[in-house]
Amino acid sequence: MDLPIVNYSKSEYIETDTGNKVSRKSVICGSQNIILGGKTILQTGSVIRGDLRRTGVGHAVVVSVGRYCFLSQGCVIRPPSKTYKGVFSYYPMKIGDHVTIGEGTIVQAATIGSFVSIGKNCVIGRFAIIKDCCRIEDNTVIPPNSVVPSFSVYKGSPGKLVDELPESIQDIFEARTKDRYAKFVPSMN
Amino acid sequence: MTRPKLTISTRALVCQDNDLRGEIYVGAGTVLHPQCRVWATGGPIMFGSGNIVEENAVIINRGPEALIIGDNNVFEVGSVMEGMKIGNRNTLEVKAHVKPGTWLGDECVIGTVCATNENEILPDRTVIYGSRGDRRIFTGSRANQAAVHTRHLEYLMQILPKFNHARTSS
Amino acid sequence: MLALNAPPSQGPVIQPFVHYRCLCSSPGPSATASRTPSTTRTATPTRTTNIDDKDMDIDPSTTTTTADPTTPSADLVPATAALTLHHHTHHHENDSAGERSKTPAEVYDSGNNSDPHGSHSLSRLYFCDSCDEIRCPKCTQDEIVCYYCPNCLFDVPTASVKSEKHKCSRNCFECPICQSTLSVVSEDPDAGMITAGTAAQGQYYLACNICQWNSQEIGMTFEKPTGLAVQLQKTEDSLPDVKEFDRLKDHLEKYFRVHSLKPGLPSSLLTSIQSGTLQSLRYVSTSNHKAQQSDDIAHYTPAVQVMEDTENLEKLMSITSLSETTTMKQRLRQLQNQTYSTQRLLPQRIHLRIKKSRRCRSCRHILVKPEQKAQATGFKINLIALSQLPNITIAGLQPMIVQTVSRVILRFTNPRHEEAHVSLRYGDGAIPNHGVVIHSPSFTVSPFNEVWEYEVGTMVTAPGSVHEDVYERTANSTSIALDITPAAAGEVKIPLLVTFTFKAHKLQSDTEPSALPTQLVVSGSKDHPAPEIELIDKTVAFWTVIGFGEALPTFS
Repeated sequence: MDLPIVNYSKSEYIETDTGNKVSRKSVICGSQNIILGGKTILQTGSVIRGDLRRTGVGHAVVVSVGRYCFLSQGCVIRPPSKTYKGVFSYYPMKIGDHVTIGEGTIVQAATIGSFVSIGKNCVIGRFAIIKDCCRIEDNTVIPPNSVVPSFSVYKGSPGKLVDELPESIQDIFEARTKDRYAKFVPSMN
Repeated sequence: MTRPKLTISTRALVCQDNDLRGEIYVGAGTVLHPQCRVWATGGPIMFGSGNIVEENAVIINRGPEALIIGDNNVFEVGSVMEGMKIGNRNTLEVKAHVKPGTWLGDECVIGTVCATNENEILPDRTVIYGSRGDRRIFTGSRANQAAVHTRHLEYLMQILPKFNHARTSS
Repeated sequence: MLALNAPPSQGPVIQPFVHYRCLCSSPGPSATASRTPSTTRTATPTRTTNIDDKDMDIDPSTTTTTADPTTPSADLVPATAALTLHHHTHHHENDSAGERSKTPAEVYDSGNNSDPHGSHSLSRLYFCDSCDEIRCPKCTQDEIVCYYCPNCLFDVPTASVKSEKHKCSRNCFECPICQSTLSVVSEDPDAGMITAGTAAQGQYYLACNICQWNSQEIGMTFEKPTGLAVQLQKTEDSLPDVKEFDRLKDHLEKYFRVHSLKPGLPSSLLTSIQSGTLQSLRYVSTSNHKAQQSDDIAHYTPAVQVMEDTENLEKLMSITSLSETTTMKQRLRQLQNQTYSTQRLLPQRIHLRIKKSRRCRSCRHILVKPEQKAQATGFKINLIALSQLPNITIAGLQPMIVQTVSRVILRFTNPRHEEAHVSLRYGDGAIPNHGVVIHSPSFTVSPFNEVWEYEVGTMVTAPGSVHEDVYERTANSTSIALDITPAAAGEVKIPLLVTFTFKAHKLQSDTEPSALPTQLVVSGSKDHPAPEIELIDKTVAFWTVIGFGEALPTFS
């Protein structure tokens, strides 16, 4: 089935020059430390913590999100923290292109690759690494410091490998994120 | 909504853009991140020192008694605390849920997406984890975690005021 | 997954779907032989058994339909329609009652979303460009490209995989309690900051982030944070059960050598065990049979004598809480030492995973070949069906009501860089026979062009193709209308034969085109002048099964 057209209120969303659509009802802390790649949608109630930046260094990117990403309602993007050589700090998080993050999902990963789909109400633990072309099912908990290799489907708490994705998944995810962006349009009134 | 009645230690850090209701006391060194919810709809909520309440965390006290929160507890993103009492050095991990009427001892860890039962008393060092809410008693040392927690607080005290406005007592 | 959700709390909702049918799903062994008579086939036995494996639980009468096309075939595809094809495309009896339909999200991108009679969503299929046929995961053959650890993502050389027991030999462990990944933690949070001279003995340990287990609980600490697996493997190898297994293996290998069988398990057996075929079971049973016949195998004496285990029994009897003993899952995770005491559970090294390439089982051509390195996600060869066959999506759908016409819109998207011609035919012998009217059974689809990606939604009318009465034409897709009159209540799904003609480069390597197993390739160009590059018209026909959800009995 086709994705349906989703209308949003024009007054709620801000569209940037690069085509990012950011809800005014989202919470963006430390916006100077956040990069959105373009054509990325931030829905109502999503939180990005750009203020939790690395200590010591000067101006730093804290959260970078690629193109055609979709951060659903109420998801939280929060950089991971740890002590290293006796110094406590938060560390930058990178999210690739064509990444979908479901409603109410909390992400504290180190990196999320491209072509990744994360379901609803998941928890991606601190410093987890999700490689390219993966799917995380709804309500999954990816433990801190764990790695999800490419073409995996993870499910459960703690998340376990349950299936593999077909070789066509990159094309499918790409087509879907582009389609969804194209169908996320302001309502006519 | 009436304005909350806040008593905040000068050495605590309570960010703006959060949802505080009722009578709340915040002890020294406690950090309330933006977007957290602390509702003292019944009796007051009293934070000890060195607690961390992250965004989307919810702490509710509906009962008539005061909810006393000990020292150095961590309420991670999206955790819900509806319990009666909480000791020291406990961690409510992401989306953890302490149900109404529950007492938490010291050094308990309510794991990611795990919940307690209603009206139970958790002994010290209880760990709840996994999809079925398995329990075990932690036997190792938590000195490491304590050291990390101290440094975490130092970091937050240093960095958060640069990006967020702080509240003061009302 | 915006707005793809079924309405909640309504039980299983039958979702619309578009499935493509792979030919391998139906023909039994006899059909296999008749279908591809000319190709050299080393893989024939494996393939046949594989199909057997799938067909075992199906009524034998359905398999005989291959030989006798007049037998009433499965409910979905009429025998008459099947005859029009050069090869048989009949279908299994389906169990429409028990079939759980998938959510659209699943059908769209997932998993093992094949229905019981062997049709798949396009995303799971391959298209062999030398056979010009759809291939599903069942009729492709997997080959191991490399082994890697799913945690540290390092490639493991094939030579050392066996000696390391298919587990990571670096620093990756899973928790003995909850099986999540352990991290190496230093006792001293300042580690690395202070000069190395003061490093205390055993300052590193393994810790679980989920259940808070740590290896200090069982007295396991390490001096260095690296090479932990080597230390752990030593303890593993010294366990009595491991020793006993190795001894028994040595003992039996001696016997195998005497009988001029390859020592260890022959690789062919391993592959067949993996695919779980009947054939392999037979193989095992015959070799066992031989073992009984020959008496020259020496009597085996175990190295470890197991004493009567009363102590263990008493301990177990005195347990009052389940948490004092290990769970089945925990025990099965450490086969070498299935202890009942949680105190004796050890961290386990993480199992390796493999990267696979795929071959067509009939012509042996490679369909999928990933890049060698474990971390690379690219493919050297990737003949997925999605990039070669028209992608059918349901673009418009009305609720289905019995004996009432409802209109559906099917969109055909052309992934190729050449214009394609598509003609459709309804398999009108299907049971129940829904009334289906295809408004434009024959149409063209414009080629795919990257430029169009940037003008999504704009209507493009390709020059010279306006004469067709299609519903809508955008960029590289054409939509057509179908009028469906459901004959009975329940799930409405229809078989649709899609004949697809496109221009393809003539295969240079194809020295003997007559050897192509199925002559669906129509060479020569009828109404197109030969372009500079040698192009031929290729025609591919395949069955699809399209489900439109559930038909309601009457207006309500």
